[in-house]
Amino acid sequence: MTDNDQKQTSRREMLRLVGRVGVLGCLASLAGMLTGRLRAGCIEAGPACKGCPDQDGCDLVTPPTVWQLDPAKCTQCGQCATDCVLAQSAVRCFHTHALCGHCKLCFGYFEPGARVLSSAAENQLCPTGAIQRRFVEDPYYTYTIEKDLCIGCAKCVHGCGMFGNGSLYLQVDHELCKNCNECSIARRCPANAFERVPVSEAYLLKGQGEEEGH
Amino acid sequence: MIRFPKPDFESGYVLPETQTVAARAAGWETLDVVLLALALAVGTWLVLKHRRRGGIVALMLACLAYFGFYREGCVCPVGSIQNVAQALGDSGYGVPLVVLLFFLLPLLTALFFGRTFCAGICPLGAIQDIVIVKPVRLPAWLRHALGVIPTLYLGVALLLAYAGAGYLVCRYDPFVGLFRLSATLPMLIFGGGLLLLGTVVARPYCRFLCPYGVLLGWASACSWKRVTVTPNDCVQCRLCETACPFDAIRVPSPERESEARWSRVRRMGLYLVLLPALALAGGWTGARLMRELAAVDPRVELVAELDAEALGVKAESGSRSEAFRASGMSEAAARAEADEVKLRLHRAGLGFGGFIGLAVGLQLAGLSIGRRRVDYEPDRQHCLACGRCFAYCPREQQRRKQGSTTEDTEDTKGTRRLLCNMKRAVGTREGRS
Amino acid sequence: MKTRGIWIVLTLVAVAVVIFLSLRRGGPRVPQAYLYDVEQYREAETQVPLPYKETARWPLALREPRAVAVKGDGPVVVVGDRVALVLDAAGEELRRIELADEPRCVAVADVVYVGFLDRIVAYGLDGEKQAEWETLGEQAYLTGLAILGDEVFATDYGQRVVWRFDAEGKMRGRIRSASKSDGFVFPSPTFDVAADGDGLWVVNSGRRRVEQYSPQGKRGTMWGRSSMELDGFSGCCNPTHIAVMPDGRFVTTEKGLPRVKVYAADGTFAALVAGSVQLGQDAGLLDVAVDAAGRILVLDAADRSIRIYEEQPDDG
Repeated sequence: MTDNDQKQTSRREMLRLVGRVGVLGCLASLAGMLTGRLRAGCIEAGPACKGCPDQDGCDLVTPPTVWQLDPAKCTQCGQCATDCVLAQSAVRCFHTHALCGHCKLCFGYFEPGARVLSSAAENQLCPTGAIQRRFVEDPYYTYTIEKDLCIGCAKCVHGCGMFGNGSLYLQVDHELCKNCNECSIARRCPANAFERVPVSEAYLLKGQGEEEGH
Repeated sequence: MIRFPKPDFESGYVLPETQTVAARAAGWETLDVVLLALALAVGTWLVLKHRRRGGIVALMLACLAYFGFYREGCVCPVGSIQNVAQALGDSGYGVPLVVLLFFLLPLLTALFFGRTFCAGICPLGAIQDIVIVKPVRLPAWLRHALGVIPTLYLGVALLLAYAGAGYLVCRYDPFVGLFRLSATLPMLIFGGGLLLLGTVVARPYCRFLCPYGVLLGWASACSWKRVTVTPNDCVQCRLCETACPFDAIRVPSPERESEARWSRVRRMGLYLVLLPALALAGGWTGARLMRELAAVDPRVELVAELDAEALGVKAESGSRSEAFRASGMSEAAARAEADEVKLRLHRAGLGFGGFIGLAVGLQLAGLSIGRRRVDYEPDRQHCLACGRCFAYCPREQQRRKQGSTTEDTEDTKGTRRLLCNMKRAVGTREGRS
Repeated sequence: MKTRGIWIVLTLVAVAVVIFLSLRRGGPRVPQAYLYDVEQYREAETQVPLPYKETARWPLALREPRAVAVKGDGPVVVVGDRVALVLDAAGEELRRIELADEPRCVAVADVVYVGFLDRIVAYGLDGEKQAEWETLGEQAYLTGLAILGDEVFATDYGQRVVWRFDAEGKMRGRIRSASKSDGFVFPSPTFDVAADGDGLWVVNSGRRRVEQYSPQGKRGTMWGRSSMELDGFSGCCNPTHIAVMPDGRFVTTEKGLPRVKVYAADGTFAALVAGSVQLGQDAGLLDVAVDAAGRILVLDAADRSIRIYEEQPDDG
């Protein structure tokens, strides 16, 4: 190696060192900013700190999140059934029995114009027949969702919400959800009903808060 | 307080609880990070110390199986850049620690040891790597031209994420659908097309699209240690050049300079003079581009729908406008929000486009700087550390023999013979073209 | 070398075209079978004449108005947001009575009876609190009030009974279902009562009918049928509210497909006052009252207003 070559090599090494330190500094400050800011602005730090009682008790960083949809915002557009990356959507119908009217004439179960209140297929609202109707005692019936059949189209949710108590509603079922970095339903959701929630509170079930049906 | 009193059941019927299945526990996420760190460490050792392609392939398949098909692709470091960008732009969004680590670990590894992550850990890279059949060498002009795309893609994706308009990289991730065995038809065609192309153009996504690869490349360019073809000195056999499917082996600079020094300096001067114009052009294009791309933002989409309805186009069911009216938000507020998004993207596009213009100009100018290179060596920025070249290097063969057995004479002879034959073959091929 | 470059460029262009095509918003459309469709029933509302016209609308400065009542030709009382507003016959605010809790229902004669979740409080029309009646228990959930003679009747959705009080608030008894198989069913809090010379008219919304009771609790006639057609009551629990007109006809309101309708004294369908076209598809519960002149006052909580409907002489 000539003298010149050696000079050039060490010059390059120097540049590289500078670059390395620069990149390292960038990454460190980025990480510091993202984690440090969370501690400082705890209250507005997103799903992790929702309803955090005291700032000091806050975690330094956001815990893992999962996708969930807020039933109060859902407009039952039907796109949950079609826009999930999975062939059978991870969004399914959930039922809070405590809100259910146990109607004989259930508008989440029967087609609006159904004449005979029997379980015959032509009377059923659900396109996949995923709702089970069982007699409890006169005049009450109970309705359960067959999870494997439900496709999350929200047809029953619309009927129940419109005429009934809204005890049927959609939720992301975490048994199926792949927890994509960007939920493809969330992107399309016209009501912006999807949000990231902490993994410890993965469901937004109805009947837990103060909401009241009509 | 009972809002909906239970019906007056007399049969003792008990209301069933709403059944929920818990999300994958947070502990598993930690495992993902630990495995990623472990894989990076093992990969680095394989690439820098062990120097065997076989080990790298084994690691690659293991990571493809775990991060790809078992974890089904999310979250991956490639996508995590957008989470970081969004967190910078939106104070209401915090990056989960796991995602932040997924973002940082491969970059740090690249900063010290090169692109180990690309070599065998990234499932997107792995799936392309195993389909390489007969890689062709791309002409340099095409390689350079296509090489600009990832930087642009990175910029656009970061800007959109920063403005809260969504994750472009995840949306057009070509292979995640394969990992999940469920994809829409366009994405299936896209992913399948890339894999098909990948049989001849090695790792097309990694080289000409991957936005994270750009960052890794930058980090790798100033790495501490790096992949070397030969364990000691180069015998100038050119075998490694044929071995590399990614055209990432840089050849020694010619003995005599092909171009007069003066003309090079003049050309460089010209580019430097042109720099402001390039930056301006870049800024203008960037601003225009981001204005158009703003249409993917839900808030902008809503206003577009409202405008269309004002012109008498009826929205389909489940449209944003329908939900918007149900929400009771005022139209002026929605428009103001959309304008804000557009303005933010416009400004960001201006800045980013200008930066790209500058970068391209500097790169062009940089081409005129003579680099003296004596040996065949992998390009720091573009080497994916796949380890294919090791076995081709006669020096490496020698090292392995010496390392393992004593009966080396016969083998070394064999290697020499092989080397001669191959050299001749390469020579004749060059002569034809 | 050159031709190979061209081929590669062409392939890349093809890939780019695919990306471009998938970029365009052409996502899967939602199949018709997934959509809940009640359009034909809304359509039916536009096929009938509307003899009542909305002659006035009184905007209310309330976030969540709950109930409305009117005293003959006298003042109108609206409750909600922990206040009771006393309005004159033109909708001008006369008085504002602050309430201690969230009101649920209201009735007015010479006294304003405000129903809270579990008790009734009586106020003078001057705003003076007169008496706070005893609580009806933890299960109570009052939804409607009616005045018959000098007695007050309150519907309790939580306990599925109609309470009977004297003017002082002393409980005189309660009206319950005679039998479970034919009794009150309330899937949701829609349980209203109105009174006229024939007694009490109680909404049994889960069975989609209106039942007549004597003050002592004896069931008389009943009317109403379950149907999506205009003359019947749709949904799980309709009608939601009822009022009696001076001439003995009834006004009912429904949720789901929001409708205000008039039924003749014998329970046959008489007219549609307003449907989802007029009230909007997302109208919530609509409380209703009728004044001495036969004006129908509909409390539109979603619109935060009172809509006044008057019968228009048929002018061709």
